Amino acid sequence: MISELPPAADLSLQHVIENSLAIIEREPFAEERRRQVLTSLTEILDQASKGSQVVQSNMLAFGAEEQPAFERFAMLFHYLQPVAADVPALLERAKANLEELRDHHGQSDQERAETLHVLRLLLQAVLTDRCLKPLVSPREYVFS
Amino acid sequence: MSIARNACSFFLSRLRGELSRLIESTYPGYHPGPKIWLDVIVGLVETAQGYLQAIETNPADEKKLLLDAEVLGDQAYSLLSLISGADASQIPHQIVDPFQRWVAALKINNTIFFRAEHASNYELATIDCRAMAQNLNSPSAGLLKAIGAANWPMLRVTVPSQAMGMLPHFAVVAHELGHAIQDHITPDLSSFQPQFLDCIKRVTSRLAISMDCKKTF
Repeated sequence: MISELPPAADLSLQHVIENSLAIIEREPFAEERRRQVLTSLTEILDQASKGSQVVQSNMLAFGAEEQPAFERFAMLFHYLQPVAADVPALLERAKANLEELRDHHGQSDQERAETLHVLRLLLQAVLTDRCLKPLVSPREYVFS
Repeated sequence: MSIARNACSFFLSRLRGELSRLIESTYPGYHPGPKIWLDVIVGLVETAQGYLQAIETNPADEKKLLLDAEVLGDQAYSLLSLISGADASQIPHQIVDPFQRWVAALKINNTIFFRAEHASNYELATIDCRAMAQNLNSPSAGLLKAIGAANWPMLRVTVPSQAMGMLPHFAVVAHELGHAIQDHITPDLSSFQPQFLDCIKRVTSRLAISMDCKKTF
């Protein structure tokens, strides 16, 4: 899908991570919105997991078709790799924790802490990536 | 902070003005695809403008709302580029109209637009913004309406602008291929019998010959 922007340029990705953090920190959310936010983030993590499978299996043709999945995993790997030994496993656990939270509203303290850790790293990655992006050329305005 | 806010507001209003101009432009074939896509982008700009307005009621979040508005404005600007080459000066009506008929005959209901690009590239790209609009905080009513008006995923057909001069050649080749294909698929053309007879009549009258040579499907 060509509308998939680079993760750092996609404000909706930032919002879905921030909202998920708020849900895990038990801020009030309407049930429908809560479910939608957690479903969206689960899908994103699922895509990243697919991206990790692309890398692990050297499926280059698949990689060309699944560019967003690959890009998402590449960004997560880049930022999570220094602090996590096994990034694919970390993403899988975060996804499972979010699905549990979405479907059963419950998480153990350990699961909660683990998910918060991953999401904070992810949010930091998006914001850092955005700051490191080269500045766009000055816009030209023509007044008539 | 107020300077940054004014700058962002200025940028968004200029972008909104440019979008209004583009919506008023003529697109070949008068197909609705480009305008539906532009409506989505207008919706994004309105959402960003909504973030700026929210600062009035929520001054504690001024920095975040301002940054969100700026990022969303940039995002809208990036998505606007997807329609580059779709206006009538880049891709003529004579190309788009047959394409549209073809798409309709294939029963493809997705919202579609056509564009020319100065590259040796024929492309069918899919565009899906549903998740993006769903995940944004406080999407504008215009954005939700525009998302609801499109048949997703949208399709964008790109043809190389260099090939425009070769199109008669493509048409001749396609015509000859059509004979071979028709022999294999044997379509039922009986419903076109009146048009066929009308065509024969016009040809014979122009060539001033008898209609005895006419045949039926």
